[in-house]
Amino acid sequence: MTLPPAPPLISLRRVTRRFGTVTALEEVDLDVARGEVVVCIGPSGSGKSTLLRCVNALERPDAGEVLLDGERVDPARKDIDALRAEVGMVFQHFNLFPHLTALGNVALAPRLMRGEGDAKARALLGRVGLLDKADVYPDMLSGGQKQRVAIARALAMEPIAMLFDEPTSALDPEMVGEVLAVMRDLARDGMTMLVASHEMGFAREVAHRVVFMDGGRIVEVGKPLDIFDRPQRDRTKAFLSKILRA
Amino acid sequence: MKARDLLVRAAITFAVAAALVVALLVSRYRFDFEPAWRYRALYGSGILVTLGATALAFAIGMALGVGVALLRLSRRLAVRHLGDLYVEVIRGTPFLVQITIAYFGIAPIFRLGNKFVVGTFALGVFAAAYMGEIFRAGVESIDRGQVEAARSLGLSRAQTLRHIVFPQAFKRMIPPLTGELIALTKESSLLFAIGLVEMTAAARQVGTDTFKFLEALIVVAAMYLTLTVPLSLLARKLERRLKRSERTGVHL
Repeated sequence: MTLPPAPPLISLRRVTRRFGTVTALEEVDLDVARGEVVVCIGPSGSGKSTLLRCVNALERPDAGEVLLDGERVDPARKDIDALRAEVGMVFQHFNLFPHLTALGNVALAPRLMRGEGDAKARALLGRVGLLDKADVYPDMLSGGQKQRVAIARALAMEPIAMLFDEPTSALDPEMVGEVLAVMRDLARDGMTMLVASHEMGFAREVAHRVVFMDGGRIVEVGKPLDIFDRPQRDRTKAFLSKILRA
Repeated sequence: MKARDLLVRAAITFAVAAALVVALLVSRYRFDFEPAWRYRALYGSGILVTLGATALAFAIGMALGVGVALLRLSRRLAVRHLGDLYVEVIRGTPFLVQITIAYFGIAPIFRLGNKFVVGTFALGVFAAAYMGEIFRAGVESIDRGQVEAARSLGLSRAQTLRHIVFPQAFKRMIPPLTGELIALTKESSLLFAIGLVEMTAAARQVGTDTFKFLEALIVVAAMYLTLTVPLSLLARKLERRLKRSERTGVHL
């Protein structure tokens, strides 16, 4: 798959993030083009989550910068809230609002910030196959359903890009498929996606590029086939052999 | 199950009450509640003062408490420390000392002489330290992921507090706030120290006037229980309902 040359939608420039003495990200450079799906793999603690969280300013880099469609993502900006709304985020543990129904979760942000009604939120629930659960509270939903509501919620502000932070890691195995199906559907529609995941099958099938991270650095970037079948670095080979053997 | 629990509670309560009565009879003290009944008007005005002071102090405590909680939740160390200082000073000194300083030390500076006003305000300031802690604990009990999800949708800090954090935290605050209301009802008895005739002061006056101290105070104890027990039962009911709602999604 070749992508037309276009300015990157998401751009990380020498981003470094430390937590005390731990360096979660070290001088990471990464560009994600419009419509591109990039999957980050790597052991836990390798910096995948921190990388994603820097893109919508949940983390502030200690050095370097993050650009979103040319705008600098900085928690100190006055319009940071509007900028955040441009990027949808899906969390490992769903983080649905337990005091709101499925519909309430999806409709909240557009209602508060744009004064919109429920119509679009309903359409989004339909898109993830959960229109019949509109009036149900999150604790009555299965893990897979929760994550699908969370995806609908993240889409509610019509983001230009989506971040998925290990979206299937907290799910029972039989529920992984339904969430990946929604994500696959989104990718097919041309959504720009940056995904941290352990789902190698998904990465192989859907990703345009795979990023292998370790110790806060990007070790290797390439097309899925190259990374999975012809990894160049020993560290990547070691990780993949461990993952694929399991 | 429920009916049996109730029966057990009623039986135990009755047994304890009967034991008390027997103990009092054995003591050969001749009870005389007639004088207390004669002073019912004084008790009545005492109830009004106690209820008024407690309710107003609770409202003041609520308003100041939110302020204290916001101070303590601030990102700025200096602001946070201001809140810490308030809570430490108020919680670290007896209310009896606070009310005395407030009435005899601070109020004259502002030419405030009204005992009810000064006493109620002092009680509110006292309550705010405890209620602020309840608010802060409630807010901090909300998972960080809730705030992150809200912020990632573009909600501002204020919108996140108002639509995500407070509605969830408030439910958890109801039982401890009810507890605080009970504590305040009793704490208001210390207002007698500045000469305010609330329930306890009324009872003491009845005792002095009639030399029937024991009866006068037994009456006022029963009056306090009449106020606090229903609140306590309500708190317990709310707590049970809250536990159920957090488990199954039935909402308060």
